[in-house]
Amino acid sequence: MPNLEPAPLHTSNKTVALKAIGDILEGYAARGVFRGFSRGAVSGGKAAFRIVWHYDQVFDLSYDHGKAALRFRTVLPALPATSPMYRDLKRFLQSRCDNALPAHRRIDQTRANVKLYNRAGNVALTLKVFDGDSEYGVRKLIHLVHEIYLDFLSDGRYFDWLVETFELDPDNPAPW
Amino acid sequence: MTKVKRATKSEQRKPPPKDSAFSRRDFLSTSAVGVGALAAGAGTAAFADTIPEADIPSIRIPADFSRSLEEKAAPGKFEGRGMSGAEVFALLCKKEELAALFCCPGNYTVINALAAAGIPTYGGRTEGSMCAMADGFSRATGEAVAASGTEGPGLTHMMMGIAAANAARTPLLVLASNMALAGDDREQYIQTAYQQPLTTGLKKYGKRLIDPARVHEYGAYAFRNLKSGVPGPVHLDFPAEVARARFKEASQLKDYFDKSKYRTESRAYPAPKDMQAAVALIDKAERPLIVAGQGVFQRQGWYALKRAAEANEIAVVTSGPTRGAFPDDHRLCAMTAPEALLSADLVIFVGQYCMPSPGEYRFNPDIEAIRVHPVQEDLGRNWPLDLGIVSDEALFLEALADQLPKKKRRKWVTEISAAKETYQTKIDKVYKLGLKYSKDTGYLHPAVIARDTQDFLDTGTGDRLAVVTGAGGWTSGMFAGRYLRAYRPGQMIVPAYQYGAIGPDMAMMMGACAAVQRGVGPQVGYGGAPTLCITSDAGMAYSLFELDTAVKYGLPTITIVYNNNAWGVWPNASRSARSMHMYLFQENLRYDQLAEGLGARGEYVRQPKEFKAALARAYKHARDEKVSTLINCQAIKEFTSGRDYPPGIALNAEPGTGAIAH
Repeated sequence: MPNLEPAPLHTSNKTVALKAIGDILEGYAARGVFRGFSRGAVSGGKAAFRIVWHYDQVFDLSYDHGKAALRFRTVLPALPATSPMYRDLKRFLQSRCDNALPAHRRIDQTRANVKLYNRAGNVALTLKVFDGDSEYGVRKLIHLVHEIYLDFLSDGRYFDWLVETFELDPDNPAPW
Repeated sequence: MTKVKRATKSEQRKPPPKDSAFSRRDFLSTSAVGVGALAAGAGTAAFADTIPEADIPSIRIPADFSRSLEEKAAPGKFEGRGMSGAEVFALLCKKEELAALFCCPGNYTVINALAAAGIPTYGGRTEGSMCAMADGFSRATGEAVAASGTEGPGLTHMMMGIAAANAARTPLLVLASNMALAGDDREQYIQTAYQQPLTTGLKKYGKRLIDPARVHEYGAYAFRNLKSGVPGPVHLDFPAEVARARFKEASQLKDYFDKSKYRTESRAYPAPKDMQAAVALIDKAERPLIVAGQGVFQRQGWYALKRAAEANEIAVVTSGPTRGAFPDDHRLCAMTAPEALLSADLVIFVGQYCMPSPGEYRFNPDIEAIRVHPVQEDLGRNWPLDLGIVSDEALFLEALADQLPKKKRRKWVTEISAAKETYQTKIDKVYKLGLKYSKDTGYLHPAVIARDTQDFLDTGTGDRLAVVTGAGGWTSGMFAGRYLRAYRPGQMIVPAYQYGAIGPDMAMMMGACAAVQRGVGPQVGYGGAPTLCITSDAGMAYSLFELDTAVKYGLPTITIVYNNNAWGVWPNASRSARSMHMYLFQENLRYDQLAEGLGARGEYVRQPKEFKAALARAYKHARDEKVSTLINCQAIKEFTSGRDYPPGIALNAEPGTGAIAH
């Protein structure tokens, strides 16, 4: 059954946590959510993962057990920090933590928080878990990125940006 | 408005009057004057000066046309001259209840035999549009239909229509032949072509018939493929030696036996252990969702779908080229609840012939999936499954309805309801913006056209179930998809489904109109109701001339043309040098006047108030007099752009009310 509200995986054992996160991500690849997935280097409580996902982009995800943080280095490219679209994205992120959203969809701010960082137009996304439940964190982060692509970017105001940024055929701008 | 006359009985007996305005000598003299006047910059007014209005004969339906339609069927028989191969095939089509044939002349022996056998037939202006009409008829009914044209030019003109039918899994019988095997490879006279390679990749089954004695056998092949498993186009190619062969007795035909012997109505029933697993998964899920695909419509599984959904409070969306198998206004329908789709934790695909990949549907990454499909080989394609079930769609839904426990899912139903409100608020906001843009510019915004059309259908027709709708075009289609609603099976077709062709939509809706007038399948009881198509000026070039066909056959269609002077994809040229000209038309073209020239009504509008009034008039004429109307809605291309007029165009959520891809 889908595990949208998973049982907490509280562990201080970094080896167990790193493996568990890799297994969850591999599960998404097996479900066809990702088109490609590989585990990268693991050292010092840190692990790297490479994912092929929306619009055939490569997403690099890192996990730092010491900081209990997951980070997508670039979740969206070519999005200037001063642009209205980036402002809207920040607002969208806030809405994903809002109590107006059903509990199964919401990021519980008592358990995790999410932040955007903009480096020269490359938008990074970080999720930090507070209670050591890394499974909750990784699933919520994957859901969040998925919603950014399927929901936030579906707004007509961003259609031209999508076509230009990902060099899409405007007649066939499928996410795959 | 041009009034089309039907010939009276006495006129039918008279030879056609000699119109002096159409004599060769007068044509030469007027055209010479016209050319001279144009050269002098005087414009077309010169023509009006030359031919007085009173001398121009009315558009009228020929007496021979009406007489022909009134003739009794005369199917072939072995006695006397015997039956031709075409007549043998036509009798088989009649016994198989082929719902209709749409064609242009060519393949004469076959189309004449089909008409004589008593199969409803329609002749039109281009093979491509007639093929789209056949497709539209089938999308509105689920029935097998045929399209035909000449060997070479006719078939090649049909290609877009065949491809669209293939993408939509339409049971379309493609017939296009004329030439003789004896002429193969000699480029004998005209129109020779090898047909079967041309439709490779666009059909379920195809065959060039070689042996005349096997004409019935291959007819059986055709209907076995059209009426079994997942449907799709079947292309039969009749050389003259087969179509014109003569048979005086049954023994001259091989495998000449009844359909009860050459195909079966038997359907796969779901295995008990698969049903147990499905029921267990649904029971454990908190927010299950059924995607009822084309197979549910094809197999008329809508009653079982409703029973299963209501028993266990499972949300439902429909997908495919036909809408309405589950009513949009049902409390469990999530067609207008895109926000709730992301919450579903289990999806049950039933009869989803054209499978998306996981990122193409608006589902969350943890959703589990059951897929029910009549053909085992397709299970697991594109979408990894937690449970695959080989079954007929209707039988599965009936079993599910019988076996599911009664269950209330109050939170899930409440969430769907809230998501619907959110979506409605969103599109209402766009409509208000559209009203503002229309007022500011003096041109009609596509959101206004779409929303006011559905509002009229809901409140202005007296029966919101009657009118079958469809929408095409890029900008017009995307906006229309958000506002148009379907409340009963077959009430809406999706002309652009999967293949994304711009242009066949108007012809498809005429085909749907033929189905409505004949009361075929789910259209029974709605005869007399018009069909309505929202389309674009780009699409006009492909289908407009079939207004002649609609008028001839008394098919009451309403066509709303979003006329924005351009291909809807013009923004792709906006940052490219020397490119924009390729995307633009002349501005302010008058499609309403073209419609009048073809014998239909034309209306020209630029403001919401004018549009509503024109739509009401069009509906009245269609309903009361079976007269077709084209409403030319003058717009501007900039409405497409989110930069100029936010939000501009956007892809609609899939699955959902405006979905076109899967």
